[in-house]
This record gives sequence, structure tokens and C-alpha cells, in this order.
Amino acid sequence: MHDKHLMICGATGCLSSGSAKVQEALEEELAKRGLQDRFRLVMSGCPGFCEVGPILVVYPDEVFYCRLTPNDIPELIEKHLIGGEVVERLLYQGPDVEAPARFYQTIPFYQKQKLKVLHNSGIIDPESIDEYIMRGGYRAFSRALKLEPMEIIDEVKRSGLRGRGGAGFPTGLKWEFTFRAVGDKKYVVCNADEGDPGAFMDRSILEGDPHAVIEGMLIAARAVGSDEGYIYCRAEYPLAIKLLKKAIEQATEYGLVGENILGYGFNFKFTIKEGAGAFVCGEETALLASIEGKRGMPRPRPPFPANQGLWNKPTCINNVETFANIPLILREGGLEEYLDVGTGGSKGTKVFALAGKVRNTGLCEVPMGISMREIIFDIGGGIKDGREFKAVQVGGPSGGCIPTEQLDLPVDYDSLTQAGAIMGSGGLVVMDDRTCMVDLARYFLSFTQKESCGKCTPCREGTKRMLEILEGICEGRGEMEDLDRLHDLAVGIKDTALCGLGQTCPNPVLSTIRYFHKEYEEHINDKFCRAGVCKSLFEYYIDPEACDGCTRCARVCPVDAISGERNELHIIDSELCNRCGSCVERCTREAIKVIPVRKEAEVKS
Amino acid sequence: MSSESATGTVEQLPEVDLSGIEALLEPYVGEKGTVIPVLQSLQEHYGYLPRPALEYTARRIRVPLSRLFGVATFYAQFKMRPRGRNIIRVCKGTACHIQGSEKVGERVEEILGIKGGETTPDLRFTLEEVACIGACALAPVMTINDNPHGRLTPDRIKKILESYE
Amino acid sequence: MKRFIDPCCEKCDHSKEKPCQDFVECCTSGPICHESEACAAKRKAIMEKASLNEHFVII
Repeated sequence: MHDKHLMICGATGCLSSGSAKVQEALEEELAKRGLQDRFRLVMSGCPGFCEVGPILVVYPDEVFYCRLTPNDIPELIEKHLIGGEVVERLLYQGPDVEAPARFYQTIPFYQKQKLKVLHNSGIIDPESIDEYIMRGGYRAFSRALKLEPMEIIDEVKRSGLRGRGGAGFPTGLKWEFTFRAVGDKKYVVCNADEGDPGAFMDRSILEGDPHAVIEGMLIAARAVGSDEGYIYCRAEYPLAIKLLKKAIEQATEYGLVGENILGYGFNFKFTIKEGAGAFVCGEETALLASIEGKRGMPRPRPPFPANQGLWNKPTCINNVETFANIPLILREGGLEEYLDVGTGGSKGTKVFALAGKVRNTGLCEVPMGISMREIIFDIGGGIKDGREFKAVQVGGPSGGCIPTEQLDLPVDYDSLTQAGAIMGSGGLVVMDDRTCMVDLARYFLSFTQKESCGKCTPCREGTKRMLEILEGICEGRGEMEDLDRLHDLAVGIKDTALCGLGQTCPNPVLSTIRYFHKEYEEHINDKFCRAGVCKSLFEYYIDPEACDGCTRCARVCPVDAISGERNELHIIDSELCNRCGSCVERCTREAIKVIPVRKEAEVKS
Repeated sequence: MSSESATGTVEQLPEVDLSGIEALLEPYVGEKGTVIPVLQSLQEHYGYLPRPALEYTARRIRVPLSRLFGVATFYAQFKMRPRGRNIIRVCKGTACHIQGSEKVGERVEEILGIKGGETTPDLRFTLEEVACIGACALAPVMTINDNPHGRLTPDRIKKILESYE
Repeated sequence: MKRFIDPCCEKCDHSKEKPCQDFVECCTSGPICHESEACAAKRKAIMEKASLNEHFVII
């Protein structure tokens, strides 16, 4: 028995803020004091709250420590682990709590979440199959082995589960198509090629609870009659790949993967394929081509993969989060519990990656039907630096933005589609008044344009033309007719592009025009970018009333465009200024304003 | 699709040592769907995909060189030229973009005098573009040799670059 | 017995070559094929080692 369990987040988010060093320090310090047997140290999966990483949760007390550095460790061991006294200064503190919050449950970030798919993340050691089993793991699979394929499919259908990868197709139906497809060989494929910029849900699931995905795939295989599966994972996710490999090894050793699984005469083997960096491979037919070792280009559907997929065999392909939902549904009594959460057309929960100008960046799992406002303001803690909310981008480059007026929209498949966004894979990027919506549309188009595989003309050429127009607007060459041209191109691409990615890539443009028409007009007619993003369309100007001559701005300017003596007004030379904005970040008095570009005469006067 | 084209000025590429390639390819001979894993292990070995190695591979695994080349240039991961000692990746994800990653990237380009996808002539740095590295809490972020540098502003770049030899 | 895969006594012969249909249930609430307090205690000990507290125990 251990006195305490120290669960330190070892997922990519906390690793980038230094959790490995904290873990090393803990290990060293414990060994130095001969305490390593009393305290169990685990590199766990992601508890979600990336903003305050590295995170350490001490059990059984459930004390939540955050923003740790190796220097904090001796005190933490001395005071808490040995002395039993909580180290207050390392607890979560923020404007949303009155006093430092001691536990998970008292931190507002967690209060409105419903941890279902993520119920093991941060709680178990992702490298231990025993801990997964302890928490009820592989029971759903064990139960599924006793059921007929159609009984399994029926439960998945009744659960109302829809694909979590983006399009939201009913999972049970997909399975039924694959089950009914004729073929001597069938495949189950997991799409772990999470490519949306700003989305990391699937990675966190794989890093926190890899067995859940494996179990989901095993159940799918049993249902559709498959004996071989592939997991196609981004090569940029080395930790997820490592943990998956380990999990498969353990499951094989336990007789849960391999030949004659648990004596039911059912065989299944896994292969992990590393993606090679192509956004389009998130599209299912492109992904299958990539597994076959070809260029990852989509092909027309039908035939759907359920009938002709990998190597032309019937293939059931689902996303990571979809598979991770399956054990929750199939376990004893799971279906009833599952149906309790969500709305009529969208059952269960959804994991979102919350990022951008929101205070609490991280991963959250919420019940379907929750409002966007609750996600951004209650869980996300509102906007950074006390600024004003402007919009949230849902669904990445295939999605759209939701403006202030729509904040009370319930988050489910149908409402989001109606608002011109999509559920997508689950990236939520929050924007404030310093984000330019025209530039955002240009950004997404430049992304899809770069990632367009080039197979079909509407996407290859259409995105290029749209991008040129948007670049023109951002550089001050726009005209009002451009908006009609953008609209026509967008509709054309939506109707005629070959794959889902092409068909949805105009969405960010359409939705920003729909909700932020004024901003486009201002760029085109007044040649002004109010947000201070489009470099040709604004200048910086130091407000003489506000400047106190602290010299901060002048010191950070990389091009020496700011002059002024200490305690005296500073002035920016617009000719020299490269609009990098470093000065704005440093100014503590908000003295540096964004103004329209002045004509020479104006500057002189 | 982003990739480095093989066009441009003729440049002197380093000699390629083909010993050891046989052992590398051996597990893939006769297997299906191996083109990408083969290219991945070649790149791991050489740091990029040298043409002589691709030619040898094509014959050995019986896949036309044109197909190997087609696949290699399709995926962002594969590099057709030697890379620098230090790999800089400036995250271009959405969360980083709206928090100023473009300005960070421009500053890196300005200091090094190269564009995304290029390598400095002294092979000290290669600047790569990456869609998202998923460390959104640290936005805007770049990694150098997988070390993350977060919450960047353009004025901090010079010092960070100087710390890599 | 350190892990669930280790047999609790010679009566358990689950292995990947000769699998037991009740293996998963047996891990957390076993033994199932025979009655033995000693064997049950062994399985419980594995769980206790990793049980965080009363909120985060088994299942």
C-alpha cells in the first residue's frame, strides 16, 4: 500500500510546460529521502487544464497543484507529503475563485464538465492495463463477445451516437452497412489523424486512456465481423503512438487481442500506421489511400468505405473519440446511462479543445446541449486580459464562427449547423476584439489552399482564387464586388468539390461575411483594420494623454521605431514600424492605439 | 500540398553512403502498403531522402521511382534536402495565429534570412512550418529541436535563436 | 501475484493460448471458477495498490 499517489500530467500539453522536469525532481527528491516506496508517482494522462500546467494531483487527498516548477518540489514533499499540510501557494488561484481552490471539484473549470469519455484521463496510469481493467475496462468488450453482431449494432444505434470526427454520421448505421457488406475480409480503422489546427482532443484521449480506443475498436470488429484493424495516427503525436503500442502489447499478452480472444473463437490484430503530415488524410478515403501507401487523395463516394474501403474490402472507419464512446455504451447498464445525457438529436458528451484568447486553455468534456456561453465563460473563465468576446471558431477550417448574439446557442449537431458552423472534431478557438475576422478567413483559406491535395478543380483552383481576393482585401486592394465573388466561389466549391474537406472549406469565409459584414466593409471602403492585424490597414499611435514615458515600448521595439526620453512622450515612426505589436503587449497603460493609416499631410500637422 | 520542389539552382548535395540501406529495407520487401513506412525509416536514417537512396529503394522494393517520388512530395513530413542542425517549427495553428504567430514567424525569417521550408547556408537552422503542435496554452509557440518556447513575442526571438549553436 | 494476468493459484490457467471466457470479470471480482478467500485477497491487493481513494476506486 502507498501512503499517497502522485499523479503528474505527462500528456503533451503539460510536457511542453515542463512536467517532465517536475517529475524528475520529484523522483530524485523522493529517492534522496528514501520515500519512493511510500509514494507512488505516476505520469498520468491529461486532466485537461493545460492553462495551469504542469499539474500534479495528490491522492487520496485530491489536492490539485498547478504551475509547478522543479523548485517547488522540496517544499511540497516536506510540507504536504510528510507534514500533511497543503501548500497553499501552489493551489489554483484566479479571479473566478475567492480563495485558493484545493480540489478538482472546487475549480470552476471542472464544475460544468461531465467526464465520461475522459473519466480515466489523469486518474489512471495509461501504461497499465490493470488500472484500466480496475476501472471497468474491457467489461463492455467481454459482454459484446456474448452478443450477436446485430445486438451490438442495435445498442449502438439506440444510443444515438454520431461520429465525433466532424460530419456526425450515425455510428450504428455505419456499422450496420459494414456488417451487411459482402466480403471475405473486413477492416476496422481508427482515424487518429487529428489535423485541425487548434484541436487536440483525440491526442489527449489516446494519451490518457489508450485502452478505451482499443476496446472500442475490438467491439466494432466483433460487430462488423472484422479480424484486422489499423490505427492511423499523426506522426506528430509520438507519445500517443508509444502509449498505443504499449497498450496493444499488454492487451495481446492478456489474451484480449490476438487469436481466439477469451475463447470465443474471435481473432483480431492491430497495426499502427503513422501519418506523414497531410491534412487531407483526415478525410476517410484519403486516409485509406494513405494506409495503402499511396498519395493521400480522396476518391468519390459511393462506393462508401463500408462497402469498398481499405484494399477494396468493407471497412468500418471511425474517429478516436467515437471509438472511446463505445465501451461506455456497451457495458452492462451503460446504454440507459448514456441516454440520460445530451439532447434529442445529439446524445452523450463532446470533448472540446478550448484555446485562443480564453483564460482557461484546455480540454473539456461537456454534455451535448450545453450553451456556448457556459463553455466559454464558466468553464473557460471568460476572455483573457479582461478584453471583450468577439466570436468563437467552431470546427476549425471546416467550421464557422459563432458571434456574441449566438452565445446562448445549445451546442449540438443541428443547432451548430443552423448557425453556419459545424460540430467538427471539437476545436473551439475564442477570439477577442483584437482578432480580425477578415484575416481569420484569410488564414483558414491559406491553410486549406496549402493543404488542398489538388485532385479536384473546385478546391485546387477555387481556394486559390478565394485566397487571392481575401489577401487583396487585407492589403487594401479590396472592392465591394469582391464579396459577391467570394460568395459565388464559395457556393460553387461547396456544391462541386470532391471530398468533405473541399466542400466545407468555404465555411469560415461564409460565416465571417454573414456575421461580420461591417468589418469587411471597413477593410474595403475605409482601408482600416480596427483590430490592428492587417498591416497595411492601420498604424500605431501613442496617445499623449496616456503615455507616461516609461520606455518599455522603445526597449522592446525590434526595429527601433520608437523614440522618446524617459518620463516624456514617446513617438512611433510609422515608416520604420513593422507593426509587430511587441510594444502593445508591453504597454501597461494601453497608450498605443490602432488608427487608420494617415496621409502624409496628416502626419505633419 | 506543401513540399520542397526539386527545381531551382543546381546545388552540391553531400555524398550518400548506401551501406546499411539493405538492412533498413529488408523488413519491407514483399509487404503491402509499405511505401510510407519505408520512406519514414529512410528519412530517419539520412535525415532527408537522398535521391540515390530512393533509386536503390525503388529497385529493391519493386515500386517505380516515380511513385516513391510522388508519395514523398505529397506529405509534409518528407524532406528532399539535408536539414540544418537545429529544426525550428513555428506553430501556425489557429490559437497561435490569433495571438501573433505570424509576427513571430516573420521575425525568425528576418533574423535568419530564410523563408519557411528553407535551411541556412551554414546548416545551423532549418525553418519548418507546422499546422499545429497542440500546445495551445503556450500560444504563440515555436519548438526548436522539440523544445517548446511559449508565449512568444517578436522581441524575444533573437535571444532564443542565439542559444542554439 | 503482481498483475491481473498472473494466476491466483494453480486452478487459474488463463493465458493467451488457453483463454478463459470469464477473465475480465475475474480480474476485479474473482476468482470465479473456484472459491478462495486467499485468491480473492490477491486480486484485491492489486487493486488496492492503485486505488486512489474512495471516489476513484474500482469502476
